[in-house]
This record gives sequence, structure tokens and C-alpha cells, in this order.
Amino acid sequence: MSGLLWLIPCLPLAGFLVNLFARLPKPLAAIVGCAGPIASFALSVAAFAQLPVEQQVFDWIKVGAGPGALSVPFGLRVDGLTGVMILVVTGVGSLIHVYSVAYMQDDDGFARFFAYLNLFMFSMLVLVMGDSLVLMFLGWEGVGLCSYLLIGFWYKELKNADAGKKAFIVNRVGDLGFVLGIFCVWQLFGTLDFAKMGGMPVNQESLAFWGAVFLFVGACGKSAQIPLFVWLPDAMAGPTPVSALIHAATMVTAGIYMVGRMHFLFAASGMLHVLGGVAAATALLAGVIAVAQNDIKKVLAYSTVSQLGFMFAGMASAQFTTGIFHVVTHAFFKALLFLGAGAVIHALHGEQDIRKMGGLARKLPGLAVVFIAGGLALAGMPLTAGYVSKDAILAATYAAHTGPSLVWVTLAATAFITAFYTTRLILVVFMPRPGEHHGDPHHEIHKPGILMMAPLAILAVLSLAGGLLLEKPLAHLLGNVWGTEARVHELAMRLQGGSEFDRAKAFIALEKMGPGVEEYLETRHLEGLLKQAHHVHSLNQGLSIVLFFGGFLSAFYLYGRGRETLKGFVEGPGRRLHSLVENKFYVDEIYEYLVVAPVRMGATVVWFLVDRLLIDTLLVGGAGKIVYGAGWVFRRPHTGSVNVAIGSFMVGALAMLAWMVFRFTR
Amino acid sequence: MISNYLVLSAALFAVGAFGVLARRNLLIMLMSVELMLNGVNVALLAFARHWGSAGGQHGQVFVIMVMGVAAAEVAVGLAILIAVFRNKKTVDTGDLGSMKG
Amino acid sequence: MGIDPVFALAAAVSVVSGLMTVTRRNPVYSAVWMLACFIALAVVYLRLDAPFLAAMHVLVYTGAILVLFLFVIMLLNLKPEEFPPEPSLPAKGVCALLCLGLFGLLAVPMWFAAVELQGGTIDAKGPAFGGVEYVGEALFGPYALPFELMSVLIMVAIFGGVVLARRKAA
Repeated sequence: MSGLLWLIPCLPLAGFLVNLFARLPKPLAAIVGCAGPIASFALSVAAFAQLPVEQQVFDWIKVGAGPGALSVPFGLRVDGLTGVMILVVTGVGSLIHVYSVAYMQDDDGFARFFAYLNLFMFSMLVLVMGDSLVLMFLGWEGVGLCSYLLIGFWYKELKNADAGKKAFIVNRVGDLGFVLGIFCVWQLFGTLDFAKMGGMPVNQESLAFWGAVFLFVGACGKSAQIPLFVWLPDAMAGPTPVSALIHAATMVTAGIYMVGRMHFLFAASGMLHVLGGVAAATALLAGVIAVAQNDIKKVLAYSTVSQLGFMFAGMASAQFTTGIFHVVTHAFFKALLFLGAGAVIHALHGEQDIRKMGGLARKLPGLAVVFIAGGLALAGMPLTAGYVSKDAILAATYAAHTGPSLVWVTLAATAFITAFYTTRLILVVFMPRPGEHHGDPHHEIHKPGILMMAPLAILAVLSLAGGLLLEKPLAHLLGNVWGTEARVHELAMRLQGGSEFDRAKAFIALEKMGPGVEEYLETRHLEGLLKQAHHVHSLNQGLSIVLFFGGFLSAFYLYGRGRETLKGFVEGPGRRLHSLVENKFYVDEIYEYLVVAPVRMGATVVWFLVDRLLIDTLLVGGAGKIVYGAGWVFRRPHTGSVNVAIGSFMVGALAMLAWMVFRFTR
Repeated sequence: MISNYLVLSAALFAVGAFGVLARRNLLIMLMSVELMLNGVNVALLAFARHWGSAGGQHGQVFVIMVMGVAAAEVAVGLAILIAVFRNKKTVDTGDLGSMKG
Repeated sequence: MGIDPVFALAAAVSVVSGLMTVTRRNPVYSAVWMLACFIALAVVYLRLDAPFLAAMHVLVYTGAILVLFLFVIMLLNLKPEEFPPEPSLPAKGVCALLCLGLFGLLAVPMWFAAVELQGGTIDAKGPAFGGVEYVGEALFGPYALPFELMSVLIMVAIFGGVVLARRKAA
């Protein structure tokens, strides 16, 4: 198996090359486009069965020799974390590829779409499978490129091309941070290989701090955290499968994956607290904005930003399993929601405004079922995947801050808001509109075919049941990555003394560690602690359930049929508040004034002074003018007349003679 | 008395130079060059005579060299003149403008 | 200090015929005036006690160069209307001024330099100053190599003349 590891990323790459250059007819292009990811998924399953595997494909970069030399082999390594990631990427990716066949069937850029999608799969797989930061960066840039290409896929509309550019430019900020972070890590460890640096002590604290800061900036860019989240909602300009695959399920989680990979650095530098604060703020801000959005994809986009905040909060709690777990479940239900939204848009001939929808449950019952399944998972309906993973994060945060902290409260509020806006979305889209006589605004509705519905059904099952099914195996698997043994030992030590909160924190942490912990505790006669941990955890669980139903019921109250309360509030006393939220707290406008306008003004000045005046006019034009003028001057004597030539020769000879005469005669 | 000879030399040189400068007939310009060379020869011989036994041989040998070079120059110059005449049907330097920049 | 009358006559003839040479419109006349100039110069050479050079001068200039000129003149066979137009009078005047300046710059310093050189060495000549033996000793002695190189130069000139003047095989 380890010899075939390189095939996992390279099969989609082959699909990309074929579809880019071969100009196949649509059915063939679809087969080629889907075959790569599906085959990769099969190989990933095979690789997953033999964890851990690694393969050195070839020597990529070699600089210098001896100590301090940089050597970056193109090495792929699949451990528990990577295994989970490649399964999600190839699995969800394959489903989305299949769905895209139906979704894009009428598009002229069919083959191009699959080519880009396959290139994205390749980049994403390199990102998660690479055994060093350099390879990760290669994939990181690759997914950024594909994101840009796919957001601007319908580039003929300026708006879409602009959204692509915005995503790319905002990501450049983050990528610069990532590059600087790589430099810091190189300085710090002298290696970029994850396995090697993982076991090393972190000596220089300031260097570790700045390395973590820069890497975090990179993660903020890719995973849409404050202050770099503004590109993700605009990225919805791309085709909906792209939003599902890249901007919800996989690419945007790269930042969380990276934090997980470099967890020792973040943990050692104390950056986790910053991470948690930023994550919670992002989660709440994006959640609030999502409440007032009317574009179905925008709602889901802000929801994604919010959920990414949850994932970072999970990472920040130092229980990295919870963050990755939420990555997985979120990939299921958010991909489902996006694909379902895509099916809705498809059915309504491109309509994205939820205010013009309504009553779809009657017309598209199958779609409504799976969409609602995804929505419930997102909202955190007990026992669904979203509930399990979100609850885990809440509990971990509670534990990490030794009790109810600001971050924890914020996340809890966000969970409430999540349930609220998800329920609102479902009600508005699928339930009959108040006062509407079920009149059909659209004469014809595209019923989604089997190619669309099958992936949706699979994802719906995963969204509902995936959480409970996967929690323990995942915890076990990932626990190996982050060293269960050492962690349990450390926690057990803390259980021996410390405050009540400290103990509770350790309890919950232990409770989340999964199998292996119990045995460990039993051998040390500490199994009683586990029960207490369960107890503390169930408090959190109860809270989660309350939050879900709170959000769910309040949305029902406000948006259920015939309720005019909300309308009155929005148009009356709450008008200002509503427009503030609807306009996304004017973040884009603030950036426009604070960042874009000054940069543009500076650029204009520089353009005029340096480009126009100095380079164009003075240097380029000036050089030309000087040469031209000199040529004009020097061309005058060259009349071609022999007599003039002789005459000037004579004058010169006379001048020299005269000089000699006056020089050499006294 | 050497001064007289030198003045004669200068006069011949200047007359030849005038011919080269003021005429447009290639043939006459070549003849003028010969006059200039003769002027130089007179000066060389005058100096040779002046220094007598000290340097007389050198000056005379130089005159012979000048004569040889003059002969070669005339041969080539006239051949060029013929070639030019064949191509342009003229010996007028005013018509030879192909070196115009 | 009187001027040698023979020299004065020869010099006057050479300068005047030189002037006639450069001012004639018809090249044939120029060539004839040049002949007069060369003969007068031969006399000047004789007055400088250089009979060998005088003989060589007549041989080379009149016998070879002038004859070559005449050949070419006849070969071209220019009719008077084919003579190139001459520059305008002001242009000629400028040229004359230039040449007068040249004459002045050459003659005046040399005159004074030569006056300073007055050592009477003009009379301290060797017994055979201008003879064949005297010149030949130098030519085949220390100057043998330049002399041979001269022959190479002339040969090259012959080749060049043949190549340049040859009628192109059309």
C-alpha cells in the first residue's frame, strides 16, 4: 500500500490534465472527472486500514549540505489525522463530484469545471498528506488557486470575477503569514518535517510565539476567521458544488488541520488563548449576520464562518480531537446543506432569494427531507452529528477555561443563534409563506434527479448518524496522533490536586479521550473520577439541548405561519438594528475605508509619480528622447557629401595643426 | 636656404588641399592629392639636405617610400574611380550620397 | 641673403602650374599642367643636390602616375558637358580661405623654425649626398625590410586595381 500512496493525490491530477486538455464530450468528461476522486477514495480506505503509512515519492528540494541544509522530499504520510482528512476529502469530494454531473450538465464549461475540481482535490490531498510544511504550503497555495478559479468560474459576470479576486487577495494576506510562519518554524526546529519537529523541545519562546502568530494569520486567511473572513461569503459567487466542496467541507478547514498539525507550537507559545478568543468572536459575529441574510447561500456561508469559529474554539481548548471531529461532521452536514441549496436553486431556475421561495416541502418532498436533516444537524438537534461534535467543543471549552468563561458563553450563544437561523432558513424555504395561497410562482420546477439525490441521501444519513458512530473511533484514532498516553498521564496528575474547576476540566478532558482511558484509569484506581467527569459533561449536554430547542422554538414562533410580530419589529423599533445586521455590520465597508481606499490612493499616487512620471516619462520616454535627439544632432553632419566630409576633415586637421603650432612654438 | 624650400612645400600642400576641397571632379581631386604628396616630398628632402650627413639617408629613403605609396594609392584610387563611374556614370562627388546618415 | 634664382624660378613654376592643375575644368589640361609642375619640382630636387631622387621623381610621377591619369581620362572619355558642376564662388572662397590658413599655419612656423636652425649646415653636405650609391646603401641596408614591404604594398595595389576596375561578368 505504501508504494501506492502517491496515487491518492495523483489520480485527480490525472483527471485534471485529461479534462483540461482533451476536450472530451460531456459524458466522458464526467466519467473522467468522477473516476479520479472515487478511486482516490478507495485507495484512501485501503490506506486507512493500514495506518500509519508513508512514502517518499522523490527528492524535491535540496539546498546545501551538512547541518543547516534544507532538504524537502516529496513525502506523503498518512497518520490518524491525515487518514480522517483524506477520507473526508475524497469521500465528500466524490459525492460532490457525482452531484456536479447533474448540477452542471447544461453548463458550457463542464469539462473545465471538472478539471478545476480535480485540481482542487489534488491540492487538498497534497495539503493534508504532505509530511512537511513546505508540501502543506504547496497544497495550501494550490487550493487557494482552485478556489480563485472556481469562484470566478462564471467569469463573464464581473461580480463573480471580483469575488474570485477578493478571495485570492484576502488569502494572500494569510498566505504571507503562513510563509513567515514557515520561516520561524525553520529557525526554531531546523526542520520542516512534522514528525521530526513534533518531538523537539521548543526553546526560543519569542520565536515560537511569532511562528504561531504567523501561522495563525495563515489559518485565519484560509479558514475565514476575523479579520480575514470577508472573502468567504463573497465566494458564494461560484457554482454551488464549489461552495459545498471548497468553501464549506474541505478547503476552509485547512486552517484547523494546520493548527492540529502544529499543535505543539501553538500549545507551547500560548497562542491557544488568542485562538479561542478570535474563534468565539468570529462564530458569534458570523452567526448574528446569518440571521438577517436573505440569500440562501449567504446564510449558509456565514453559518460556515460561524462553524469554523467553533472548530477553532475546539482546537483552542487544546482538545484537538473535538475540532477535527467538528470538521468531519461539518463536512457532512454543510456539504449536504449546500448541495441541497444548490438543488433548490436548480429547481427554481437560479433563484437564490429565500423571500421568493416558500412551500417547497410540498413540491420537493424528498429534497425537503434531506435538507431538513442537514439543517437539524447544523442546528444541533440532539443525537445528530452536529450536536455531538458541537457539544464536545462546548464541553472542551468549558474544561479548558475551568468553567464558564467568556469564550464558552459566546459559543453557547452562538449555538443558540445557529439553531435559530437554521430553523428560520428551513421554515422560510420549505414551509408555505404566510398569506400565500400556494400559488406557484414558478411555472415549472426542476425535480432533482437520482445523481443529485443519491449524494444528498448519503450525506443526510451521515449528518444524522455520523456523530454517534464516529465519536469514539475518531477519538481513539486521533488520540494516537496527539499522544493519549502522555495526555492522560498529565491530566491524571492534575486530578491529584488543584481546585474544583481544575479537576472538572481534567474530568471532561479525560471523558473525551475515548477508549484506552478507562483502562489507564482502572490500573491506577481512578475509575471513580471518570464518573464525575461524566456528570460534569452531562451538564453541558443538557445545556446544548436547551440551546437547540430555545433557538428552534423561538424561530418557530417568529417565522411560523402568520406571525407578524417580527415584521413589526423589523420595520419599527428594530429597523436600525436589522439593517446593521443585514449589511453584515458594514465590515466590508469598514475595510473599504480602512484598507482598500488608502491602499488604492497610495497606489494611485505611486502609479502617477513612479510609473507615469518617473518610469514612463522620464526614464523610458526620456531615454528614447535622448537617443532620438542625439541621433538628430549627429545625423546633421552626415550629409553623405564627399566634399562636406573632406571640408570638415580639413577643418579638424587645421584645428589640430593650430593647436600643435601654438603648443610647440614658444 | 631651407626656409625657402619649406615655404614651397607648404605652398604646394595648400594648393593641393585647395584642389581636394574646392573641386567636385574625382580625377582632379586625385591629382590634387598627388600635389600634396609632392609638397611633403619637398619638405622631406629639404630636411634631409639640411641635416646632411647626419640624417640625409633617412629623408631620401622616406621620399622613395612616399613615392611608392603614392603610386599604389593612385592605382587603387583610379580603379575605384572607374568602378564608381561604371556604376553611376559620373565622376561628380556631389552625386555620391550613399553615405548619408 | 639672396635667393637662388634657379630655385625661385622652379618654385614659381611649380606653384603656378599646381594652381593651374587644380583649377582647370578639363582634366586633360590639369594633367598637362601637372606635368609642368612635376618637371619644375625635379629641378627643385636637383637644386637640393638629389639627382637620384629627381630622376626617380620624373620616372614615377610623370612616367607612371601621370600616364595612368591620362589613360583613365581617355578611358572615361568625358565630354565637356559631363564635367561635374563646380561649387559656387562663395564656397570656393571659403575653401581658399581654409587653404590660406593651412598655408599660413604650415609656412610661418616652419619659416621661423628654419631661421632658428640657421647653422649653415646646408653647406655641410657629404660628398655623395644625393647619389644612387648614397641612397641605395640605406635602402638595401637598414631599410631593406620596409623596402621589400613596399613592393608587397604595390603588388596588393595592383591586385586591388585589377579587382576593382574589372568589368563585372554580367
